[in-house]
Amino acid sequence: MSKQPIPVLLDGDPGHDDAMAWMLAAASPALKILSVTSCSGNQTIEKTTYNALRVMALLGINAPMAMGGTPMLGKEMPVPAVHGASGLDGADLPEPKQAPVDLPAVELMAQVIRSSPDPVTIVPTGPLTNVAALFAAHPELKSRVERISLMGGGIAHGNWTPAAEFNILVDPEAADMVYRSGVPIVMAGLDVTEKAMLMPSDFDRIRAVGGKVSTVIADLLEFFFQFHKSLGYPGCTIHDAVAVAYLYAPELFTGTDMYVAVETGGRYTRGATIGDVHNLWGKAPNAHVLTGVDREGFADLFVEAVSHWKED
Amino acid sequence: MDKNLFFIDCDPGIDDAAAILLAGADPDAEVLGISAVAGNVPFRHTLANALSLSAFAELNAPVYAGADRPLRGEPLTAEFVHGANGLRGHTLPEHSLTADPTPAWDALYAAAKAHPHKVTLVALGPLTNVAIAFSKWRDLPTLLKKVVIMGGATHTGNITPAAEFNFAADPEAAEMVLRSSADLHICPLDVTERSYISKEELAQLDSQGSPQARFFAAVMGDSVDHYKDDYGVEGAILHDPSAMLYALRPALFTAKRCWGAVETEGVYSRGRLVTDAFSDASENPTCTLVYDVDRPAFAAAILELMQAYQ
Repeated sequence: MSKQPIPVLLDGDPGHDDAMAWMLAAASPALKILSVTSCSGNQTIEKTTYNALRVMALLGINAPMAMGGTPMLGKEMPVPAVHGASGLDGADLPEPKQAPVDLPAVELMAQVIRSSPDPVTIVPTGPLTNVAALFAAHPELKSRVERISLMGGGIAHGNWTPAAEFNILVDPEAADMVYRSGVPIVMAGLDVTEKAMLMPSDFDRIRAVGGKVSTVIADLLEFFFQFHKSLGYPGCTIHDAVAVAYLYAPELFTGTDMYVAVETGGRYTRGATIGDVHNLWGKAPNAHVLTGVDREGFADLFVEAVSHWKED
Repeated sequence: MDKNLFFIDCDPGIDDAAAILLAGADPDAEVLGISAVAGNVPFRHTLANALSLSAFAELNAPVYAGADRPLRGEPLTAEFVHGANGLRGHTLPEHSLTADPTPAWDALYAAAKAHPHKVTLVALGPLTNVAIAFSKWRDLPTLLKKVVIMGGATHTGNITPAAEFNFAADPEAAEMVLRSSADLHICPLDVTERSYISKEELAQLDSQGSPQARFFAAVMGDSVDHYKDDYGVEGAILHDPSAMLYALRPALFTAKRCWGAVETEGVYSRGRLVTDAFSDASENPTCTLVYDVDRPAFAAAILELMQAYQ
């Protein structure tokens, strides 16, 4: 198959599952990474930026990297209980091999989008702060974005509050701006990502591949699993990786088109994603909401991906 | 054996009508009273229908008038489901019952006082009457045995994308009731949309031949096309009968304890039931959420109960 690779902009808050997502992206010949940007989420912006550079060094991602912003309203809300004090605890990652470029994340994204001959795909795996600011600052670039494949939200329920998923909750105004942007969205929310699990037996398969990346990924999974185990999950939900996996292995997923709105008010519902399942608003869908996954096929993607670095 | 005691608060409504017929058919149930509230259709229709149903279901229970509007704002109605008269144009036999002069909230309190910890309140409409009763009579929530509520949706609403009709019609009332110390059992759309009766089962019901069975089959049969188009269900969804059967036959259902609240604010979420039942986030439990049903057994129970009518 001689199809051109999909040009992607990675934007995230690594984070264990961001690292997994980026690992799938770096390994797949179907994707070409144009830039990497960090946002505040799982840890502070300083830590996620450092982690992003370390992950890029590990995976040999050859692209410019820029530091992003903090939530538009409200405060940073790091979650060391999930990702550790560093935001990426549990593995021996290399030191950065590059420095961030001397531009805000939004401007790097704008430059990369302008200079790409083909429309790009943005893959946000953290709060949507940077993407919202990009569209506010450069609305003319929306037409150069083919789609946004994001991890965020949940139609049926939240995880950080009963109503809200973490990435949307951290910056609901930014999420509202992105969902209203008119750019097509693939929504990898909790409806699918809580089913996108790697089991301890998958950790072993990944480790058995051998090589530096295989070891780091397996170590990260073992660490990440401690949190999941405490909640009663039989494995690790690799939320962010769904947003990448869908782009090159869509056959593993099922979903529905619908209009999705983001609640920014409310006593209990701030940060909830409201899906118009029955089309009561009569609006054209703005999102393809993923709901199902072939879990075993999803797990196989990770084993295949780490094999890319087998000899390292 | 002592009968199980019930008080029914409702806004009939086609599915309220079906639910009341089930209560009337259960030999183990005694209905102490029925109160009407504005909801599916305007109050004058819900009150008139409640009176007709008390007679038609052979309960002859006293019927009490409640609130003709929600605590705040204007009434929300759903004639597109229930028709102008609340019974999709069907009529019920003439009767001689008239509404009791006692207000709904005082009648509920009197019933609970007369039978402390024995009365199950089954609330099938907006929770306006119940909220007024709980607000007025502070000891009422714990004097009741339990409160079974048809309302809310944890996944997706039916009147707005966020909210189910009963909770959307009076979000403040719903939130007041959910904050109470009553033993709350909530039957949201999660379970009621799974509680359907197939076309074949409706035909079996019709062939039982009693006026009540034929009415149930006709009034619910009318909505089969609506449910096929919007919900992909080959039959009629029975929201209120689902809650009523949970009250009468809880073993047919699956439920779990959880925290629950009703959003009264927000840009899109007013009236949304918020629970931690399926979320990693967890709070102290405040209610029981009924979320699944053994559908074939549910339909069989309806067919069996309705045979009580001649």
